[in-house]
Amino acid sequence: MSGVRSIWFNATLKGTGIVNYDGKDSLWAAKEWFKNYREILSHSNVKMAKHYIKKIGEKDGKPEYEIKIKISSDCIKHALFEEDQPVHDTLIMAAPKAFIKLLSSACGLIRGYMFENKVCGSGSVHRKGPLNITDAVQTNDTIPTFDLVTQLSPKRQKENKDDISGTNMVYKECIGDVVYTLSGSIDLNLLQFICCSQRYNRMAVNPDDAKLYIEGVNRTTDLPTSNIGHYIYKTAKSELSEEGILLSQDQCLMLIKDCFRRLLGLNIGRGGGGFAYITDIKIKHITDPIIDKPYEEVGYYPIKSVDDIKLKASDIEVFYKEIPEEEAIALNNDIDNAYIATKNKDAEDKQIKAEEKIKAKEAKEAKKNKKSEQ
Amino acid sequence: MKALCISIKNAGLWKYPMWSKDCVYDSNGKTIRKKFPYYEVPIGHLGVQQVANLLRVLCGQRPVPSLRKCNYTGDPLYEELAKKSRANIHSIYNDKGYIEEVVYTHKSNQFPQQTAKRNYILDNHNIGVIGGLIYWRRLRRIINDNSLFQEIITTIQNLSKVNNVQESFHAQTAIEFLNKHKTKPIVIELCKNLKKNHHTSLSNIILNEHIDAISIHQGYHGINSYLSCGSVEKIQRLDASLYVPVTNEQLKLFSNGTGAASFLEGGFVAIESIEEWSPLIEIQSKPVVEGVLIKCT
Repeated sequence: MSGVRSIWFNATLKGTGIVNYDGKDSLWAAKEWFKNYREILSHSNVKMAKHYIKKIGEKDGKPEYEIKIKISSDCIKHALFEEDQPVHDTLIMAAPKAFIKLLSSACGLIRGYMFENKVCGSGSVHRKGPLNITDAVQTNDTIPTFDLVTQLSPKRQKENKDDISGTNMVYKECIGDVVYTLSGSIDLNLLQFICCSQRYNRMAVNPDDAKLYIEGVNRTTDLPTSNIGHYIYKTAKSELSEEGILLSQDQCLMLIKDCFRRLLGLNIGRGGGGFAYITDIKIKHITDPIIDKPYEEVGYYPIKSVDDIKLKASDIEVFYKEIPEEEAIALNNDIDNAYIATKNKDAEDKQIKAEEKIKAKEAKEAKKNKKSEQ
Repeated sequence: MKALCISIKNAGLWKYPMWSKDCVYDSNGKTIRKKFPYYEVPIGHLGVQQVANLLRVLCGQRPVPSLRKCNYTGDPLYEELAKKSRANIHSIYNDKGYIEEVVYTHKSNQFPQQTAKRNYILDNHNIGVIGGLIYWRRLRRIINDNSLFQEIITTIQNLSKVNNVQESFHAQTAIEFLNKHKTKPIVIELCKNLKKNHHTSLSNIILNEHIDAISIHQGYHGINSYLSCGSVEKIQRLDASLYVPVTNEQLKLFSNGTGAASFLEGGFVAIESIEEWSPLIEIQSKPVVEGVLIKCT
């Protein structure tokens, strides 16, 4: 029997007011659904929340939509990891020790990262985060209104006669108590493997920094980490190995618990008076996604603290198997040789084609010369 | 034949991908993204390459790069499945695309320049200077030369007879003060030194010359300017349901995966249910189409 492949969760958030605002680019669509506020929405000074729109049917040949307020997944992730990484600062790459500390932190391991650099440090590294979260979408029927408010900003003055003068009056979308729901999953496959090779273009750590990185992971999880090795993804049909670090099942469990600790304490605040916080979470262990359908209620159980999580370290599926270094190197050499052979063949083909072209040109010129002589 | 129903939530499409200055690396080497080809999928449809890779991940396989050249080609079964699949997009859209959302992104910018204009009083006139707020610490970083910075301080000290210049003057007030005494030889000498050390912009502000065409930090490229800039980007979001026709044997492949995957930018995908394939699915949904490969020149 296979182990747990992923952990799914459904959460409910409660709050008041709007915590996640949008730009003005969806005003054209907003006019379609806020029919009572069409006049207001034809102005450009509108501060609008992010909305979730779903087509629910058709009436008289026109589509009908359901519109709800939402908190984007990016906003939730920012709130989850705000303490660890308040700002995504690429300057940290210039300080290798601090940089590796960030990569090996719980934030780096769970949230993932993308650092692109050509100048200094460890080169470009990225890790796909195992934590997937959907947007938190409003479930109750509270209806938003557009209130006229003033904004503290200097009034823009007309420079020319034709200029439009600025205004401090803004239409702001307001709402009372809101209940949101969100769902998400922790992909244990992505969680347990830290890739150190460029084979599939997903190098999470430069192998030269592996020693520092392993020390960092040890510190984060309070458990020993295995050394860098060659691993094969068990279910993949291509048996190509990747260099990387495999986290132990205990380490995975520790990181899962850390992730749920953050989720349980999620509290998103907004200066303008809006806030939202988590009220309850239910989780489900997925061993076979076809049998344990994530969207079915069966199998979910509520948690109030991380101690309520029923997952054991031994239940976690290990997606990778280690292969001996010699075998991996031999396999890699075969691939490299095949690649070089194809490259050489391409070059030969190109040369043959070029020669043929020259010959054809010469033949053409000879024909032309013959014609001119005649 | 069964229909595997997959829900796609919050998948993002960058509206202006061609603005990007970054490069694409593959086995062919480096290509500027602007010149790299891309697939254009008609609005209201999903692309075969996108869906095939999604199915690969749901089956515990590696995705195959659709544009970058790579030795790994993957199993063509997933392309076949994708071609037969149907998608129903729930999001609102028009000819321009799906609904846009503004997201906050952080970018590394090697030479960021503040573009805010601040009003300086130079020669008794209110003049806008590009470059944002200037303060002593920033001025020191811009000058990047202690002796030159000290020269500015001593010049102001001599002119104003104030001992602690940095406490008595704001940096902007100090520049305005130097402008008031711009005819004095000591200030003229200072401006000459500034020009010599490639700080013409600062000298121009003091002397009130060519103000419209300069910014405070013109010509400065130090390591301290390698900063992370926050900015906003527009992204189009779509929600959809995907129906994949599968046999019982093909269905077993999906047990190898984790039941969830990501799709496009930040999209969340999950296996929702398994139904019998019916003509109603075909009526409700649109086919998954092959994107048009657009080659940029």
